[in-house]
Amino acid sequence: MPEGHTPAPFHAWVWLTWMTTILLCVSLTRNPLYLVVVWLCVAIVHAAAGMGELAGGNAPFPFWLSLMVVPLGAIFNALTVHVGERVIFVLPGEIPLLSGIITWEAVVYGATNGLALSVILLAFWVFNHNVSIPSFLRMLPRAFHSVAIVGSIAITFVPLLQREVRQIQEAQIIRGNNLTGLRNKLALLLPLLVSSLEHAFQLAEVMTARGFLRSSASSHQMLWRGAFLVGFGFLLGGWLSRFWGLPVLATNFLFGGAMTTFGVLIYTASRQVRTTVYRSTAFRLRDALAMSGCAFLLIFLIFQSLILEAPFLAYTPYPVLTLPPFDPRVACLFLGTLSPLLVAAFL
Amino acid sequence: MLERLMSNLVILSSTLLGCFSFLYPFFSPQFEQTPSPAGIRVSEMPLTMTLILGLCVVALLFESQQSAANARFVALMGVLVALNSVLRYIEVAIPGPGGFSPIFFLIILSGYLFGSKFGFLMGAMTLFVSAILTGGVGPWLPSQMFTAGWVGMSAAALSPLISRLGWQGKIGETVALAVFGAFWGLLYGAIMNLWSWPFLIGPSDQYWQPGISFAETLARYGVFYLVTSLTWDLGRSLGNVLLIATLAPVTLRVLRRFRERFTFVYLAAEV
Repeated sequence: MPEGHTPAPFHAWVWLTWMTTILLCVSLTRNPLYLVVVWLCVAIVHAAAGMGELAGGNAPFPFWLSLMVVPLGAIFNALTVHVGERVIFVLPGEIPLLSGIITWEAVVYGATNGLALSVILLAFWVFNHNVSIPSFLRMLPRAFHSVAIVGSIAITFVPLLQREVRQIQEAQIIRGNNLTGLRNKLALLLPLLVSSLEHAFQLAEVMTARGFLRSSASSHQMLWRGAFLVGFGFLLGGWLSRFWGLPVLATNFLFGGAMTTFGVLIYTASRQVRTTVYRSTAFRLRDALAMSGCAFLLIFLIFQSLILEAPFLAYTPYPVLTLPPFDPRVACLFLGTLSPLLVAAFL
Repeated sequence: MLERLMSNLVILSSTLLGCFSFLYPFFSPQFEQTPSPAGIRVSEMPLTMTLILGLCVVALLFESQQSAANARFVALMGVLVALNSVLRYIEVAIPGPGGFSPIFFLIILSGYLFGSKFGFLMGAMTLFVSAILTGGVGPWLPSQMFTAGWVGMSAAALSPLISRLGWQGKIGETVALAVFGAFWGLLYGAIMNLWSWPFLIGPSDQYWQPGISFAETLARYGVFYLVTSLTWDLGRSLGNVLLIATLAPVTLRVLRRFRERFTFVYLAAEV
């Protein structure tokens, strides 16, 4: 990349797909070797984002903080879970929770969980770093326009309220109230509440005067509610079939039915809402390429692990610690999560 | 009439399904946690739970926002959510004792005064907006939004009770709200624990195992809760009581005054 060149930010959907893929990887496997590969991929993207190789805003989340959960997880699990056959030592006495055998299995399981948590922490930092608040709100379907407007108002008002908190604090201190104790806090809370509600009142007047109205067609509401109930039926069916151990195909069909019903409903409801787009964010070829690596991995994992239940990611250190299986081809698949970084570097 | 019935059905169904997905370990003696040969289902469970709760939150948000038909509702909700998010921001920066959180105070009062749908949106949106602001978006967010939404939604049930008893504006109202806050302070923690409890491994008298009976599950969860969470949740519970006891009477007066002001109606001028 040329020096001084600022990369154009990716579309928010790229990062949502990337994060969903990472979360699915972490949810599906407790194989420490595969988790290390996923962690390395996320750490590389995290480091690139921290160095400005990817467009974004937040301060970097320190590596050491995310890695700290690995030994902490190992220690906590080893001290509280006295299961396994490879005993390291025995903690004597009658200390509740702690006394008992300390095993390698518990250490490995705790460290693996810590590693998974570390991946999640880093992945969410990368997501928060690369997706601005307006982009995040724009991802909400139009069917939730009222919720999105509430969110936008709230986010816009937060800095204003923080400034008002400081002003009220200064005013109260000048009057001799140093705001210690809960009762004295009333002198802060009440003016803040009243001024916030005054702002809300002014805003409501302005919005009403400019013709803000809910634009969803009420004639469809009964249909939507009916569709929601059908979706709930599918969801309950899927849940119960998993509950009673029915064939996995039936479970997946019912969950798929629920997701399709909800998806169609939200799509239809969104089409009823008319909105004006002031700043459109185009989905370019660059975004499609960056998304493709993650999307391929996501589809592969859903198909192989959730639909076919292929056991290639399965591993547990209990009851006896064994070497986790490692297939380099599977490990290579996880490299798909590097696609945003590769596209940012070359395109 | 039919519209209201359908609306209530959607709310009831999503609430029950949400409860069910939280409480499934209690009703699943036959549930296969680790089927041979893969052991995949254990790791799938958080994903399934997030999916179900996420869809329930989607349904409840969609249904609740139908009441956000006018600018007054949207503006009031937006500003109250902002106020609550600032409180959570302060809490994240300077953590209180135990599980103390100042956000439940306004969620409870909003649900109590403005109704169940407003209360649900207030709870869910507070968690959503503050998660965006504090970088706390994560797989735990749907369950947090759902549970905080329930706090606001259930607070609306106090309103007819307090009206019937004639406690409005009296000390009885504050006491009832404080008891409600104390109850939810503990229950919020108990519900949020259920998010991870079935997937933890530990001493057999505290952790869930597939195949155990309802009574055994309840007993184990009780021990787990007492050992790991009660002290933490007591901080939240006592914090709610303290905030409501000292700040609720005045805050309720202000909110009631503004509720009256927010009933303005614009009439088009005749030309």
